[in-house]
Amino acid sequence: MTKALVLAGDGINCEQEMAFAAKKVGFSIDIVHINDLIQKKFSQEDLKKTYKSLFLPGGFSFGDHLGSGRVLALKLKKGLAWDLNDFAENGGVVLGVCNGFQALIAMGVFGKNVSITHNIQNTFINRWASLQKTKNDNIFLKGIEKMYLPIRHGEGRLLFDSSVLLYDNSDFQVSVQYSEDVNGSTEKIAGLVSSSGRIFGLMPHPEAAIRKTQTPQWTMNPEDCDGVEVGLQFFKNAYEEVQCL
Amino acid sequence: MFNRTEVILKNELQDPKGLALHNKIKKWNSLLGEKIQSIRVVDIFWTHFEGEQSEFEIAASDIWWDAVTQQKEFPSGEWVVEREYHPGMTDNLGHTGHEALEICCRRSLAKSQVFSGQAYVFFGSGLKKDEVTLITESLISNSLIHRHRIFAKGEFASYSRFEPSTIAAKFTQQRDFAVKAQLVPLSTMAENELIEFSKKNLLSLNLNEMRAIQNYFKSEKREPTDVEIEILAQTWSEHCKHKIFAADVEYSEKVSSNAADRPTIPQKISSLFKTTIAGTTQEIPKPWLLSVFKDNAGIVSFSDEEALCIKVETHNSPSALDPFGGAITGIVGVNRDILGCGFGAKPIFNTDVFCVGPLEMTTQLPPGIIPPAQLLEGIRSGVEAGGNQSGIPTVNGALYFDPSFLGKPLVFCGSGGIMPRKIAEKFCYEKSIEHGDLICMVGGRIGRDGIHGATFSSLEMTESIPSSVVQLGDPITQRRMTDFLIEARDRGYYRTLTDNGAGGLSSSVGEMADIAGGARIDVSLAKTKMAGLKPFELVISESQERMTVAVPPENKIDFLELAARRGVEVSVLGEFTNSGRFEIFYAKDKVGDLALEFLHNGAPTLKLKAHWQEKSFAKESFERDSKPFQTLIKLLQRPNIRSKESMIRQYDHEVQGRSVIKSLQTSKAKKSTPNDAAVLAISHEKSIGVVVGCGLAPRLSLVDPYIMAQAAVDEAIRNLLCVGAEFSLTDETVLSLIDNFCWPDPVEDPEKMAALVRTCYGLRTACLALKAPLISGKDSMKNDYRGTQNGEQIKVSVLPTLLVTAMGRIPDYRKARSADFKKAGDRIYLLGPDQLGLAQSEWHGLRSEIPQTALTVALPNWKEAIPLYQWLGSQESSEFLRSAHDLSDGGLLVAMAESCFVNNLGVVFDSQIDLHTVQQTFGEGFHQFVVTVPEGKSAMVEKDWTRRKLRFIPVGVVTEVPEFVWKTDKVSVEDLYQAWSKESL
Repeated sequence: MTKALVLAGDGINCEQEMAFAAKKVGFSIDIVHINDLIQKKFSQEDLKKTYKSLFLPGGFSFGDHLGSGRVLALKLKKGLAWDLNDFAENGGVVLGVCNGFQALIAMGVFGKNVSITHNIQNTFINRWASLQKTKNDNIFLKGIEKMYLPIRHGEGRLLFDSSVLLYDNSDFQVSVQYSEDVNGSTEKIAGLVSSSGRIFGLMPHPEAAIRKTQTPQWTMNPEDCDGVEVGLQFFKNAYEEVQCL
Repeated sequence: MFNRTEVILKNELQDPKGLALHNKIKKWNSLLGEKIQSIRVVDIFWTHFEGEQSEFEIAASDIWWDAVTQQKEFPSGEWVVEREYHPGMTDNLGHTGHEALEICCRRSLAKSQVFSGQAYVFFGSGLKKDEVTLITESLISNSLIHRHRIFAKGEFASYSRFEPSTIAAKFTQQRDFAVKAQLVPLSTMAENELIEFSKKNLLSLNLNEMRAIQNYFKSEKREPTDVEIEILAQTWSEHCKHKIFAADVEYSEKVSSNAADRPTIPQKISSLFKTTIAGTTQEIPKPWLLSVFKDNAGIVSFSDEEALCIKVETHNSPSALDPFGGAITGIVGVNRDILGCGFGAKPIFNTDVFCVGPLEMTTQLPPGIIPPAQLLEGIRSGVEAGGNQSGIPTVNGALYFDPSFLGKPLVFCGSGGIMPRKIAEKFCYEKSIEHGDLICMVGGRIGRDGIHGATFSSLEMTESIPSSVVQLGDPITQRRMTDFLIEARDRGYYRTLTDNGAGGLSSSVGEMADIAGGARIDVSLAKTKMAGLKPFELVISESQERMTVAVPPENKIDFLELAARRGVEVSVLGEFTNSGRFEIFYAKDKVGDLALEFLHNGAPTLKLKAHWQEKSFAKESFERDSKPFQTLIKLLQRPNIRSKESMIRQYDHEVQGRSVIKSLQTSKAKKSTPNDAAVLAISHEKSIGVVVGCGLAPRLSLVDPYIMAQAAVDEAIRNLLCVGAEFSLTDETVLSLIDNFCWPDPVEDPEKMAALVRTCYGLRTACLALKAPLISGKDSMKNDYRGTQNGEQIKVSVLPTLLVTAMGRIPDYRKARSADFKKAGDRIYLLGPDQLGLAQSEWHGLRSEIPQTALTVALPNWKEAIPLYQWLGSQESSEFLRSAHDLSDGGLLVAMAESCFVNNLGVVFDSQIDLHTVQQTFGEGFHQFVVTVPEGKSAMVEKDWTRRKLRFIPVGVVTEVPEFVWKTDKVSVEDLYQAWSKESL
């Protein structure tokens, strides 16, 4: 059994659909409340031993009150002190979506020189966006070039310290970019991947684009209504990756 | 230690919050907007920390500092406005700040406190103090919620803002005062004193009710406590008791014409609710109705495993005072109705309908009335915050403008939820309580916020209102509570639950006591936000995010342990009994002891008069329009018709991944066509969908509320049919309706009362015709404003408004339809009996000089409509139809224009169609649809329609060229789209 952990609690909202997508491709899923992990003192070793994949779903953890993903990141750091890079180097894969991505950033997984803040238009935005993958390795995006995925966020504007070389960096690699400016994010960046290619964070929601009938224009071709969407491929790739080991 | 932490965005980074405020000012007052160069917004946190300063500094840096985006230096603008909450208001940022400190310090910090605030830094040398004050008081600081200070540059520099003594002053605790219940000398009060007492204490009880209370305590041989009086006032409030709907009504009418389908309305009506609402549902018993009108929401079964429940609430009065707070508490409040329905359901969608005054009205408003544009932005962002943060998609809604809604905005917040039909041996709709079960208050704490909400909303709005009725929402606390309760439900830890809404504990425990047969609570055990709350305040406070749960004593430890593990607070207040009484203690003192029989059934029945005077209208329309496409452009710009895309985009309408048909049909070219209703998958594993739509037609109240009500039902049903909901008159069809009445005060106003009666009968007629039962509803009866303007007394009353929300089912959502035209060559048809009119239409709005009596009125024809609805609601129609859109505001051309937008297609109209006939081109009314059929299937479908005797008119053909072409007339779809979307709301 290939087990995956889907984090829940404290205002994480998308754990059910995330778990469903992962389950559909073959993962055996535990949806676990962060407080239960802390109470059990679920250590780095436990994580590596038990799970092949960690999913951090979207939501509004701690209401985004002190910055999106920030307090969740603090709680994960102080409460569990997991080293996700070590998890990834030992065969694990990590996907952080939306609030989960924001938490990965706040945890420092992509280094100290990146931050994410309010969209330039200062509004929440729910729409579908076209995205393009960069050439950087990303185990989740094998065989995918272009994507059309929903975005649903108020804080998706990635900012980097001015000293950072965006495309030549050991802390992170740019992985997906919007085809147009949707929120003022630097270089239209929508997602980052660790240099190992195994920790991936992005603002768009692959778990909400797994069925054709979730896409905005599926009624144009109702005969294709049973089709699957690109989001599911993210999970398939992750599953196949951890199976190989 | 006292600290002030400032979160300051780097100067070189654009400040979205500052920009947004600047844009808001420009929109509100362009002259002032121009004077401002820019605005920067700084978040401030004041902390009273119980540990070492060094420990605080490390934690504060972890929590608040971000080297990539922040700087330490305060922006040096010309003016600084520092804003914070009044003490005791819900402060979510402060609350999370405190929690973050505990996380960082790895221990409980019960003695520490964090408050949040903002500094607005204005740049612009020409700005004067009175201008900054005006901006602050109009757009930044709501005196009911906030306090603020304004500093000139120099003043701010010399403001010792980091001084511990300055900060400490913010934390001075209110002194505890004696918290005791007071006896009220009721027995000796004369009639005028009784009325005076009710008024002074915002009880909103009339003389008869005060007398009943006086008599009750005479029979109990004692004086009541303030706790008891307050409990009675909440429970008997119009808001909670629906006295008008329960009243004895004398109805009369004066008819002036000999209309054929005039309803037969009895002269004596004993409870409109019993006879026309619940009574109607009784006449349409459906096997899938699990619980109607009993619980917090109506419950229907959707499949062998799942039940769905739905509720729509209004939060008009709170939203009139504080739009954001009113709307957010409205939406999270109705989510609690879902959570508190049956044994507890999980919310899966929200809906919102707003009725507000015209946005262009910015000045010259009566005192106390918030300009509509600001109000709309406030309520929209409240619903956004409530839904988005809770992870519940906002999937359907409407926006309606009319000057009458200046009197009070109507803020309808709806929610639907899902639950298993059965857990263990328990049915989802059962609400049983055993005596001995513990009474647990779960979730938020009690504060002074939201005291007298129920009674206040049962009064008309005036210039002076008490600030204690205002409440703010805290979605994260509610989210945790929801997750916890669903988990506890699945583990079987509790018996049943209900939410704390209007009336607070007095209502929730009072209602549950009625099931159990009695209740005893000690309110001194309730967790509070502040010290010094009086017993009556504890009992009636409407502080948010609280549920009352009945927990069997043997599950107490498990229940409390799970709550603690989920970060949810529980106060065990007492237990349910079989004493027949609601007993309230404050520690050892008994502060209330009411017989349940009197509490729930002791309120005297109201007696009301209703008189209707029929109006006459034109029988036939001779209106002509030689330039229909020009008129169309004007109509598309009208607020009730124009695009609502920018609002819709700010709601998360896809979270949970269920969406099948979204509010807007969109393409990569970023154009949109509004869909008629939402379709959602009820689970990821099945292809059963739930369909949600709504209808309302307030302006038809001016014609005849009997028609208005039927129009609202018809629109809601048509919206469902457009997207493919099942429909038949048999028991297999799962289709339920929810009614929400928002009325101007009909007490002592026979005309408004007659409008209510006629609306109820209209609703009943439509429900019976469609065999669609009502399953839940709500009324709000005091939607009037009274005040003085230019020295004159004025009163603004809302249009009598019925909102009908429809929840239907689609057995296979892969057969769902959208409203957009899809392929060139498809044939376009107008389907449905000709039941259009012009009085009070959007076209009439363009020609308001025409008296409505000179225009035609749309009338329903259910007999002809039903075969069409059956066809649309069957699998067969999905074989033929490529799109369906209902004929709604603006009529035929508006519907067709909307359908063209998303795929940028056009129409060549058949030349037999006469677009100069206003009634056909712009008439609004009942039963009609615009549908498209692939060319190859058109002959077959026409034959089928003819066989079924369904009326259809071929309208034209969809074209690749994005133009409307009729004979020699032409208009580009791009021009139509610009008209519709330029000022998207």
